[in-house]
Amino acid sequence: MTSDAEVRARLAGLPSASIPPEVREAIMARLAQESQEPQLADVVPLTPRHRRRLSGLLVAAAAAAFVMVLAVAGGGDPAPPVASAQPVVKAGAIYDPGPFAAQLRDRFLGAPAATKQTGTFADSPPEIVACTGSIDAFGEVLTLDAGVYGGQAAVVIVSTYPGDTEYEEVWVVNPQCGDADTDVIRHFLLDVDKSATRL
Amino acid sequence: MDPRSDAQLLTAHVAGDSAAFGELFSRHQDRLWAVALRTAGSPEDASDALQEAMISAFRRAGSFRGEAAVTTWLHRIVVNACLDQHRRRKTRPTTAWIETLHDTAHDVDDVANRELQIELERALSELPEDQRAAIVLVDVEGYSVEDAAAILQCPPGTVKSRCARGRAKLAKRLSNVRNPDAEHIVLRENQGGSGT
Repeated sequence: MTSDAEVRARLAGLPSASIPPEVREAIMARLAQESQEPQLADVVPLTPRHRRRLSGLLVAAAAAAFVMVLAVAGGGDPAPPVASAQPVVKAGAIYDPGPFAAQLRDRFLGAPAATKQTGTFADSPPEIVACTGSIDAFGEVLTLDAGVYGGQAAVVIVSTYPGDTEYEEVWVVNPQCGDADTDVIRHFLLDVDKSATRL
Repeated sequence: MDPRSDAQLLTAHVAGDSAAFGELFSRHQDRLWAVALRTAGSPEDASDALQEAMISAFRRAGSFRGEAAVTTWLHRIVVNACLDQHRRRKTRPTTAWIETLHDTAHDVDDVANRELQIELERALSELPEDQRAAIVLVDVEGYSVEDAAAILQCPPGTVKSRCARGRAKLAKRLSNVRNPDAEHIVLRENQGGSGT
């Protein structure tokens, strides 16, 4: 019978495998390509290019439902913001600006929904719509997290990024965000690559 | 040779140094490949998984919190990508690469020994993925159980038990290769004994 020790010795003696040159070249080429794109890292600042893209998407939003909403609203005003029917509201997070993206992932994947009122606009669907409208957030709101960001009371909003499933759009706003408070503390796109769980 | 540490290279990459991540990859490419090849089960899957993993690490570098070594973090991404790749496969990967790898190896001289090593490699590729990944990291690549646990994101005890179960299967396979008639001989002896 072959012993455990012999198996371990034989496993340790398996030949080492060097990376084939063509694999290395392909990976280096992809990395070089990534380096030349503006979205370098996990957290991607919202650039003018993204803003133009968002505007373009809105102009192109001839989708029937969207047009119907405009028609019902009876005007040619900019599109009303969209809030999902039931975004998840969470509370109690203390965010640091540094590892913000990692904290976001942990919170939005693992933190339970709030069981009490948060004392912010996130408690009221109409106020959520007012807030997202005031900051021009056009994606579907997925989650709101009322807590502290960089030492100040804040609400983190995560929404879809219209037309591109690779990104989620993230805002940090004041707890009283709405028509009278349009301040955005932080705003960026979160790159959600294929292997990552969607926030 | 870039004198910066792995962590410094990653920090430089996040700060916008376009060459830093490539240097980091070059530094660990062979070991990452070796892990990818045996975890994914074929060169084709390993190639896809390693490329996907490196792009993912490149993009996600800003979320690296320094709680583990950079190499542990890289290996974790690679192993996860390989296991994903392996699960996506509808058919068993080919094992022709195993003989090719052992043909080019210089540390296995005699034919019988080479055959055993090839059989061991085949048996390794057929282990359940959790056992295979643990054995590749601990027994083939020489990581400590603690490091392997950090890469596989499970307790060290789980790594140990996966390795033990996997090794037991490999040992049985090697025994069968050495003496393919062993089980029949035992059976005949038992039958003979009961009849007298």
